[in-house]
Amino acid sequence: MDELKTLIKELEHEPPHSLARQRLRLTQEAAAGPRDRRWGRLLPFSGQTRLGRPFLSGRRLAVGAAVAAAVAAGVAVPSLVGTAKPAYALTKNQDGSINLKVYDFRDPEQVEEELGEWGVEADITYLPLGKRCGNVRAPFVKGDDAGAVSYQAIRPQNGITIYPRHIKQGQIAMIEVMESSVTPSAARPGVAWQFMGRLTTGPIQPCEVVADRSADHIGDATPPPGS
Amino acid sequence: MVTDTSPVVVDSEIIARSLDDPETFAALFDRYAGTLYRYISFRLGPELAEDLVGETFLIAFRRRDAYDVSYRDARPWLLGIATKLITGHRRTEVSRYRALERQSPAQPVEGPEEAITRELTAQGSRTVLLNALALLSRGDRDVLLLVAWSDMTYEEAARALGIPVGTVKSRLNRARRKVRHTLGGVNPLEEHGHG
Repeated sequence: MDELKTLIKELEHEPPHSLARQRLRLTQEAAAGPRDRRWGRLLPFSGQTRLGRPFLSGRRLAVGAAVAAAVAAGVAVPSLVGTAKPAYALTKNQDGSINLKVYDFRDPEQVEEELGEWGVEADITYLPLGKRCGNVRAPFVKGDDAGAVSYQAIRPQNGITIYPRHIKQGQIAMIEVMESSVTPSAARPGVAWQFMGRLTTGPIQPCEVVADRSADHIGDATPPPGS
Repeated sequence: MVTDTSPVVVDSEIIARSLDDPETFAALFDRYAGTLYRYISFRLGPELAEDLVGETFLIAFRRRDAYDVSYRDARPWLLGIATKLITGHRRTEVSRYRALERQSPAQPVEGPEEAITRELTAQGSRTVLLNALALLSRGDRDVLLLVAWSDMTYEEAARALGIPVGTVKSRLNRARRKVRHTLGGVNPLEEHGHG
């Protein structure tokens, strides 16, 4: 493989010092570690590894994949929820991405409608923190077993950021937002809301709400100093 | 924060420890962030590489409970996640190869005639290789570049990409055949003991 390897060497770049920023992203995420254990237990490393294990039925695999795709965009957001603001704000960024900030948990249909006007078909569900959808509501898009496809389209950046260029024709951005009834404060740190998002081609079934007891364990996700 | 990068502690052990002590996972970043950056940067360029290194580790972190600790080396796992992220930018990748292909090769202005000929031949095959990479299907390119870049075995590549070993072999053979064809019968991709 000499010529190809020579070419690869030419095209490679040395890691910059600024890569430390990505380490910071990871360690900040690690600070909210306990909630990840909950999801991670259900996730297959890859279809190949777990498919080889006979005790996993197809149904369990399907559930595992469901969570894998959902958690790709999952994040706990330790921000404050105001009451005097509008319910949400949608902003289109220069790179074509759409930023969604939720201030108050009402009007999911309105969010869907406005996103639709910008060419994004969305299905948004609001739930109280401590609840989640217990059913696999919709089929998965091809190749999304690692959640990487959905992560491209729906990212936990600056609230929720949707990248329409990563949403193909016929795909729906399915987003579930879980809101805390208690507004976090410096005295009572906690999670204001969290969300999970993934792409699907539909149809989307109604959410079968179940208790999410582990949501109680994420109350230490405090904002970083200075925020 | 634990940042034990001692090779005595295997990757799977770091992942296992990170279940109870999540910040331990940063040790994997310290081991492999540079490796992943080089891999992503040669395929997509430096502009996207940094962010995708971060995303690779975030996805890995969120899925660490499901890691099969019988595999001590986490590199195939991380490179597999990175490859899937790269797939989402395949247009950027193809455009990059096309742009590099269009760049005029730097030709030596003086020197022994033999050296000049050698240089021009190398530049010519570089252009042909870039063209071949741009023409490959997504799946074939992923397997070819992952194996060529990392010297993974077929089994490791299969595990990394979540596809059967047989598919890795067939994609690799097809990719090599196509590249060989575009190079006019010269095969720069001879197999060296993989699998």
